[in-house]
This record gives sequence, C-alpha cells and structure tokens, in this order.
Amino acid sequence: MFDLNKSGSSVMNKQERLSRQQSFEREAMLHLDALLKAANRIARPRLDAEDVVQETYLRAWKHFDSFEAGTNCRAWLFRIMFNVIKARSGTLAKRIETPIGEEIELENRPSNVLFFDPLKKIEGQEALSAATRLSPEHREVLWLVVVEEFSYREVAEILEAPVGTVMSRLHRARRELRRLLITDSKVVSGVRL
Amino acid sequence: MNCGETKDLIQLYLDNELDARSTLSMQQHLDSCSGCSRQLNILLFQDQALKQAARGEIIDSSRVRAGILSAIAQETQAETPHQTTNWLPTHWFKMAAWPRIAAAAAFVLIAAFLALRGGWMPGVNETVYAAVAADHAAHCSADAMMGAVNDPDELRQLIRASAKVDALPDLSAFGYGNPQGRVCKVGDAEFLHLVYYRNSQPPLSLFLRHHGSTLITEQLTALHSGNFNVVSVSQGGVDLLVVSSLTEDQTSSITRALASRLLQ
Repeated sequence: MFDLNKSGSSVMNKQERLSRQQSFEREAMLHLDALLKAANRIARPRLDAEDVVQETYLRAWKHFDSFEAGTNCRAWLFRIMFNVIKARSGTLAKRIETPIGEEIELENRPSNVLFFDPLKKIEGQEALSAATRLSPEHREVLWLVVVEEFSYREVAEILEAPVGTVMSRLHRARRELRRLLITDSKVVSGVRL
Repeated sequence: MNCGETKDLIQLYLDNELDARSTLSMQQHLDSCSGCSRQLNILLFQDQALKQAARGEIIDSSRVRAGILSAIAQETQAETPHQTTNWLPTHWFKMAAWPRIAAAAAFVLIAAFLALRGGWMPGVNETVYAAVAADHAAHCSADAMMGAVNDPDELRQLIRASAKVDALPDLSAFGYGNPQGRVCKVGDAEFLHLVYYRNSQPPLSLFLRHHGSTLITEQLTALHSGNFNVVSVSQGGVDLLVVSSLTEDQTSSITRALASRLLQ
C-alpha cells in the first residue's frame, strides 16, 4: 500500500495516461482540502503549506501506479506529505521528544489548584489555537488521530514510527493541550477550596 | 475494571482502539464511576472542540488545485509518445467504405459509453467542481444574493433561456424553497445558479447549463470540495451540479431526483 519505490511505467499510451489522470483526480484530489488544512497547521510556520501539498500531489502522481485502488488513498497521501515535510525540514528527521516537565497532572491534582470544568464549553478556536502551539511531534499526532481519525496503526505508518511511540506522543499531546487550555484563563471555571 | 486500569486504557477507549470485551468492561466501569467518567468527558470535549473547529475551517484550495492539475496535465502531455506510425492494420484500408463507417460509428459509441460510465461529464472537470463549491460558499447568505431573480415566472424564463429546461426545480420534498437565481461564470462556461433555502439549515445550490450534447448518463459523480459535497449528473443535454452541506448520500439523492424530474 505504501510502497513508493515502484515508479510508473515509462511507456504508456495516451489513452492509458488519460485514464490514469482521471483515476488520480477521482481518488486523490478528493483529499486536497484535508491535506492543505493539515499542512497549514503542522508544517507552518517553518514551511509553505501550499508548496508542501503541491509537491505531495506531484509525488503521488508520479507513484500513483504503486497505489492499490480500493485501499486508503488519504492515508497514502498523508504519508507522502509527511515525507515531504521531513525532507524539507532536516530537523524534523532527528527530532527529540519534548520534555513534559511542567505539565499539570490533573488526575492527581491537589485540592487547592484551579480546576478544569468539563461541563464548560471549550471554544473550538481556542482548542485549535492551543493545538497550533504544541510541539511538532505532538501537533502532528494529535491532528492525525483526532481530526483525521486515523487509527494508531495508520498513524504509525504515516509517521514511520512504532505504534507505542504514537500512543505516548498522543497521551502527552492531549495532556499538553489541556494544560494550555487551562492556562488560557477562558476555560478555568473557578478555584476548588 | 478498576480506576487504575481505566486510567491506563481511557485513551484507547476514546480512540476506539480497544477490543469489544475491554470496551464493554470500560463502559460498565464508567457508568458506575463519576471520577473516571469526568476524566473521559474532559478528553472528549477537548477532542470534539478541536475536531469541529478544524473541520469547520474554510480554506480556498482552488489555486493549489489548479496548480497541481496543470502540472500533471503538462507532465502527461510531455510524456505521451508521438504516434507517427500507422496504428490501423493495413487490411482496414482494403475494406469497403460502409463497414469502415459502421466500425468507426460503433467505436465512437462504445468510447462515449465507456467515458460516460466512468463518470465523465462533458466539459466539467475538477476545476469546475471547486469553482461551483466556491461560488456556493460566496452566495450562501441572502445579502450575497441581493439583486438575484426571485420571482417564479422570471426564474422560469431564466432557466429556460440558460439551461433549456421548462420547469423550475421543486425541492419542497426535501424542505428547500424560496429559490433565487443568477447567471454566473464558472471557468469558461456560464451556468444558471439557483440557491434554495431551508429553515435553520445552510442553503443548497443548483448549477445548470445546457451543453448541446444529447448524450445521456445516469452516472452521478460526487466530490467533496471545501466544506461541501458536489454531485453532478449530465442528462438530456444538461449539466446539473448540486452543492450542499448535506452528506454525499443526501446530496446524491437530491441530484438523482432532480435529474429524473427535470432532465428528461
């Protein structure tokens, strides 16, 4: 499914190319908005999201013969996009887990700290803005699981990381997002005495 | 299952990664433990807020889309080998005229049939889908449609002139009414754009155009563009595109019903 090593046949007649192009437009272009939104939130500000997505699609087109019809085209495209992001941003290839350090352990909170009221509505824009402030490795895994609803296994394939790493990053990402939402005073509902 | 086990597995439960047995145990514990239930709600609300905001974002992907399609088209053109040799067998030229004409006609018909079965629509490509979705987004409010035609008789005249369709599409069965019409340019073609409204629901758009061909297909082509589903059909010489915030299935049902009533 994700084999990008096979390249398209160099000898193809016009009819086959037209058919391939129509198939690509039908299967792959459908996911353009999803990729562009993800690139906007994940690749920026270091990279130009539109450039990343355009290169992703051109690579996908080049290797479209290796894509198995009927399998998850969206996951295939996301994997290509993360390869593009990695290639363009050398530091991403050798990234280090962000230390947790200051995170608030809500589960074991002392009785006199500010607490988060789950019944208080979280504004979507606040969550989106807070997610954008997460470290890249947390932001990308949170986006892929929560927004794109990929399974852990699919995310592991997209990011080329073990499933256990995906799970631990996701746990940290959610906890960090919660910390940011709490420190943004709008969602703090009161003081527990 | 106890609180400690729940704490370990709550994320897997949230992401539907638990097996059926563990899911059931988790649900039983959550039903009886307000503390764990509260923890789940915190994560759930946070995820929902993020998901809804992210999915609700409106982005304009038309420029990137056009860039990609243009680059692919150029590449396709560049890679296509020139065929300078005779591609018809030599005995073709030795045949009498009428079998050649009949064979050519059959070839054209088969090619047209195959193209239509594949969802091809005369003159409507990816760019048009994106463009009608963008046009729909830009004309979703009553303010944006100010000055548009809303008198039923005038609308009928407009639809007859633009799309050569006699009846004004009736969407009352789907709860949509009060249509307003305007002629708009999408790509190089002119379409009649009809916007229908429904109480407390986002409006729905129809784009109609007469393209002169009498080719008929019942094949619906659906694409998701921006936050909208775009479903098209070409029938009786008329291209019809429906843009809505409804699901793809609902949009397809409306398109199918309209095509069968209008475009016969």
